[in-house]
Amino acid sequence: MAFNFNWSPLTADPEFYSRARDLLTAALNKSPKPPIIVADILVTELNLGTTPPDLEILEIGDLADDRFRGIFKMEYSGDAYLTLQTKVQANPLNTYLSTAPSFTSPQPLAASAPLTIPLQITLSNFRLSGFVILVFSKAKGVTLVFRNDPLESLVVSSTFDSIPFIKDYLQKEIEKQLRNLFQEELPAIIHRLSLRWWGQDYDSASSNTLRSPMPQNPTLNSGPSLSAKSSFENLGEQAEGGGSPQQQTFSFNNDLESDTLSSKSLLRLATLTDSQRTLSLFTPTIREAIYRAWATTSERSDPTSTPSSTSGTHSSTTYSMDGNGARPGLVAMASSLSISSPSGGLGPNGRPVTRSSTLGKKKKTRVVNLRRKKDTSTSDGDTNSVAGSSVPESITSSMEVGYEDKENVEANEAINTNIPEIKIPPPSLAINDRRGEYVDVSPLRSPTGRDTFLATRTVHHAGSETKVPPTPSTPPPPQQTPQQQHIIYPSEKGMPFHSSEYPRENSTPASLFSGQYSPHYQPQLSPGHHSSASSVSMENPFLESRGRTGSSSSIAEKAWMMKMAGEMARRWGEERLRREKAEELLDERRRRDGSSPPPAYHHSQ
Amino acid sequence: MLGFMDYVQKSFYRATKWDEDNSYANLNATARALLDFQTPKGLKLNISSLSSPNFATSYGLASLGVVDGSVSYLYSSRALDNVRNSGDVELKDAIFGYRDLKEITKPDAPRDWEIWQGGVRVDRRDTLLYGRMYLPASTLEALYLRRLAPTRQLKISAVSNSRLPNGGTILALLQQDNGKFSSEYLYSTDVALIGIRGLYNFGFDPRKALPHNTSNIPVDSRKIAGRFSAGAELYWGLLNKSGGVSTGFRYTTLPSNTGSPLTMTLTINPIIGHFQAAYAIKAGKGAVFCSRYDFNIYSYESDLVLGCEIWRRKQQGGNAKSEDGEVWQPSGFTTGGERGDDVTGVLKARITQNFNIGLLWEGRFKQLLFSIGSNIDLKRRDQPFKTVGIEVQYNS
Repeated sequence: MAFNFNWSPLTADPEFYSRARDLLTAALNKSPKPPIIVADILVTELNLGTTPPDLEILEIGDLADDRFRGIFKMEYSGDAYLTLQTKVQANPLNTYLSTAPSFTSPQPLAASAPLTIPLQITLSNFRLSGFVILVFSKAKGVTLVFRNDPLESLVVSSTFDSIPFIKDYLQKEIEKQLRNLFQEELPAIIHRLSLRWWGQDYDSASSNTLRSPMPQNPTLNSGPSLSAKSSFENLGEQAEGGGSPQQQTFSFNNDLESDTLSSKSLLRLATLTDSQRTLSLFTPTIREAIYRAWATTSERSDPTSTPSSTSGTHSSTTYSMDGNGARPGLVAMASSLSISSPSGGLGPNGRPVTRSSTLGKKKKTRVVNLRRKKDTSTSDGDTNSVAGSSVPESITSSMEVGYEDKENVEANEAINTNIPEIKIPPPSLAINDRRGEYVDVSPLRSPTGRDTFLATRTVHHAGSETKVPPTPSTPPPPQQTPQQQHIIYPSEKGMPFHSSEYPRENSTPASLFSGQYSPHYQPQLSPGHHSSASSVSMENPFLESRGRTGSSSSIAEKAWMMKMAGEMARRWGEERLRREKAEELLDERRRRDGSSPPPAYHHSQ
Repeated sequence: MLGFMDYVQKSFYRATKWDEDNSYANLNATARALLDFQTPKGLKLNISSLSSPNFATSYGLASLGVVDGSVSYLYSSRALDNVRNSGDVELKDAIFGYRDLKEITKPDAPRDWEIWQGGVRVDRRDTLLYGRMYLPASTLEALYLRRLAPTRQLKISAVSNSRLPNGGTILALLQQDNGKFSSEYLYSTDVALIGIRGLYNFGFDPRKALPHNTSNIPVDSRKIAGRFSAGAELYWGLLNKSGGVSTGFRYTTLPSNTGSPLTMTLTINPIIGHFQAAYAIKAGKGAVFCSRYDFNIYSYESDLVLGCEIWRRKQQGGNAKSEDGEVWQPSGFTTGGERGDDVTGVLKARITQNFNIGLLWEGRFKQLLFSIGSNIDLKRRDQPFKTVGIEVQYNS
């Protein structure tokens, strides 16, 4: 796959610059100006230069004809420049007196005489470096958000370069303003510009943005057709509590009538978000909401309470224990997925396989890939434990890079199949429901025992080659990938528990863009192991919300469940067949080269 | 209009023989009073009283959309017998206007201030304490004023407000006035600003002139007719490493002058390149006209402000349409020394070069002092009145 970013056509459009200038001018004059600036700031020249920024794709969360979402690492050191014109007060005593109270003013006679000087500031030699989240949707335009403060340095040259005090002051003030611009105004500008750019439904879109400046997260992901239901999904997710409440709160407000949230609840939500911002340990309890942390613990406790489902859930538990102790959010994701994925009951075999089982059919290919690596590289140790407990992020992440597409396709299929009208699933009930179903199914398929495990694994291999597009031997695991991801999520480990659940949204200006931030929330949660899983969840919010919260109340739900049950049964049959076949195969192979049995097998023997 | 507390403070200066005008900071006080007057906004009520000669209280209430107010107290160690209530006060004392500068006098000798009682010195330095609290804004103003010596005065003012950087500022000002020259040293905590101001009066030296008693040898009126003063100021902010300089000159006629009283000032800021020239003339007994021209040699920016001040007196015949400033006919020069208590009101008007007009009518209605003002922007045809306000003051 290749991306082609065109830099020059963007700048070739003659109207582009005038539009951008206008928007920039408006943005620069919006925030209160420091007293030294006594007139409006005018953008007189704007040139994006010829050197495009270096973009490094870190993650692509969503890809289709009409939408795109990805995380980039951007480095820019090009020749863009920007010239501003304004008037400044050149007498520092005057600016000082304008802010000082008159009662204690020294009341200079003429030393504070004003001298306004037209000032031309040229900003050049931008050095930008940051993580950019780009969301594009034909319906909603382009949203570009900086995860961090991208401004590394810039050169401010002005008419006052000869006066060091004013020069320093200007440099400082401009950097401050620019940081603000990059993180708050620029996303808004780009969004508006893109809306105008694509023209279509600009009016409606702009009115939309007026009403709710951020498009819905699920709406964005699942396309316009689902927009009507998105709020309900949101409701479901909100009730499930896994999703970060703050962003949900905002999207909530947009689609539902605002009066559905009482002022009390709003206050609580505000306190919750504040608690993350301030690292306060106090988190208000919100009724009807399940915190991700709780969900995790309940998942953990589940295996003990329902031994029949041990194989299924256990994996998710161990998984959560090892890989993401510091990121509990992932656990909920994994576990919820294990419940929601239609083929969740498929792999009740051994510990490691359950990993694949939890993650559904796509995971099969994953495990295969893992195993392959293990086969080639290592000959000892329990693969199970290796895979389960100390999976290096690099491996999984490299895999997911390769599988992204296919999974997307699958997910899209899933959407197509599963989309039928689904109403809000009331919480908690469904979990039991789904779980029950799961429990019903899983023991049937899990003869348990590690022999079978190995067998199934190979079977999976074989099966996947036939059914699913063959495991790409291609995915050239880029060595940087893990590192980059480490770069992205370095602080997560240091964050306290709660804040790690809702990572980083705090730093972003939620007021404007939370709706569009929300998609990114998941990918960042799943740097390594679960990006595909999360992409599933995002591709298929219905499935997700259903699976998590689940409501058995509606007819649609039941129909869907029936369908799923049928599907599961069918797959179970297939799986069984395959397993048997695989057992035979394995036996044969074992007989053939008994010298080096795979380690796991060896162990179990 | 002067607030009551400002009026009391002025009375304190008068009681302690402190010449406010002999300071570089007040070099262009006339032009400021005529051209930079504040027009009231909204409705303002002030009720004040000098409950004892040493103690004054004042309550203010302002309504400009939201109601806010202030409570202020003042204590003076010197009994202020010269404070009058709003029904009796002379309007020229209660209103900023053209400054008729007095002849500078020789300061008291320190020995004059000594009071001995039974072999023990009992005199004390006069002190004024003042505090004002703005209620919803939670701003506190405080002033400490002390006459350290016949030639020296210390003024410490402070503002406390949580919104200010560091929660507030303090300004300490030490003033020295020798008659012939005066100097001021100030320090502000805001940006650690230090400043020095000086004013020198050319010509007549009251210290040397003393031996010639004015009653014995009549002074040449042409020599005393006017006074030329020059001064300079210098500020330096220690924290922001920036400063300011200006120098200024003033020529003003003295009461002994026989012609029309006039005041001319020229201030120059050499760093900024700013020149400001002001000319005020008292045309007749009740009319003052003033013009001020600003010019900056670096930016070529200029500004011209014209203003006038019309004093309306009780009907004494001759000036019927006195309220209308344009057709004001001076009733001729009457003999000096006439009491100003026949003044019933003052109209002030100014116009800037971009047709910004300020109008202010200050006067007395029964026992109340009032001022009605408006700012009019002629360039905005649709909504010319920028601000309109009325201020009512009652002092007892």
